[in-house]
Amino acid sequence: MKARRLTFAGALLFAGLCPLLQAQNAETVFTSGTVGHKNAAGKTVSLEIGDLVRTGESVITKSDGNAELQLTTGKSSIKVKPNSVFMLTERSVGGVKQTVLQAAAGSVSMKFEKLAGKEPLVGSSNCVAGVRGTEVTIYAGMDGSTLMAVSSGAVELESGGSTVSLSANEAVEVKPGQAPGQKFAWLGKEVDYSKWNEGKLADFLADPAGSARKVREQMAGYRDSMLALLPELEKKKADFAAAAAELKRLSDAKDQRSEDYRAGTVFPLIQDQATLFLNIRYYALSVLSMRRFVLGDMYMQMRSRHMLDPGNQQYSDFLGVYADIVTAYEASIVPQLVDADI
Amino acid sequence: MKRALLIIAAIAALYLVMSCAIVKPVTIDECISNFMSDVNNDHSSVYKNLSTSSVKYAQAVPAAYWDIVFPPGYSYALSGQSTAGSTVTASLSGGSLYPGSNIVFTMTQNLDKDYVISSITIASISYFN
Repeated sequence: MKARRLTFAGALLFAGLCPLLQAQNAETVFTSGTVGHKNAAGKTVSLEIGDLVRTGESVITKSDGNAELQLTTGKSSIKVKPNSVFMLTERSVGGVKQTVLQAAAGSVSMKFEKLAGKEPLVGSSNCVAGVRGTEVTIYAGMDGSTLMAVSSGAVELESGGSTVSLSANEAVEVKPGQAPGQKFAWLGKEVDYSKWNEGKLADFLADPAGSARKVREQMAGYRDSMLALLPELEKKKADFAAAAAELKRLSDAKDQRSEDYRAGTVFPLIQDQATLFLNIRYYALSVLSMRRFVLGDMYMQMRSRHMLDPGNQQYSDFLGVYADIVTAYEASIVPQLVDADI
Repeated sequence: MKRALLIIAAIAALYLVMSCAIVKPVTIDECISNFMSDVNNDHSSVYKNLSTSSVKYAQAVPAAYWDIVFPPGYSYALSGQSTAGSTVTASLSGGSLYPGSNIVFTMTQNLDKDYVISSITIASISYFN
């Protein structure tokens, strides 16, 4: 397919609202080959120049596909390479909402200018990083590994409870469920993603069950974070029930304190519940993403190689871990999902 | 002449049937009305009135989310509804919880030209955007 390019000119739309209340979207400025746009309802259509990718949506490129997006606030750009999945998501940390630009699979490059207000976070299925005035490329391996390479600026990356700071021409690899590895010099040459991912495939095929265990660990991390929030939400619900009853008593008694009580106690409890619910859904959808793009790919790789020898020991070991992951996923994650997610 | 009249009558009948079959897009008022009906009767359908392009669409689909924003046990209603462009403002009543709280909807049209809700703010707190 002939490449199409649109020179992005003209005023960028800036809502003027506090960035904490307004999530960032990305406009499509270039596409070539086969590029899909999956909306929040789960429907996938062809991505065209001018299309707005909103939070909760994904860009999916096939082997001949490339896409370039620009955030609608600021001049930051995102390049989605072939065979990649880029997701625009949101999470709430300490009551503050932040956009997360995520490479769910393949290779995604991002270049950031200093933004008005909060810069987005970047990451993959197993790590998140804060960026500032940065050009960074993220490679997501088929085994759930992430390679983050910084061309300019600075990145602070968090995974497995540890943080590493990257400066220009530095890179680090993160394996699923683990802290970041040792950072190393990266001289700015683009990583040959196919070769890098082939290496990941070779590592996976050498020990499929071991690779699956690492993915299980990563998914368990998200699941544990989600499960930790569930009792908090239940407590807030109980607190709200008590507060709502007290509010009714004050209102029925035409007590002048009812207005302040509503604004100062009841409404914050509703807001806290809503925030907790949002975060629970974020973790559940993160696990869904790993299940779909990492574990699902692993399963297909093994199944296609062992269709004629299903009794192969390596295959059996992998299936054992796979079944364990799916059981845990169905027990704890699926209840937090709805049909539109799947 | 008789044949021509019969043909005209057939075309008119066909047009009448086709008119009845054409579904008109959902207007702003209809969308808000449907939303409030679902708030009072069926939280699992509230998401159908929302824009799929909004940030929180996926998170806001479950009925459990709307149980938080509009707790069961109250009867919710709007009064003083006014529309300016794509913004709808009204007073939300819901027992002692929302005694005329300010509610603001931002509306948008989907690909079917139906109006859907892209954001909801109640008492200056954003619950959907």
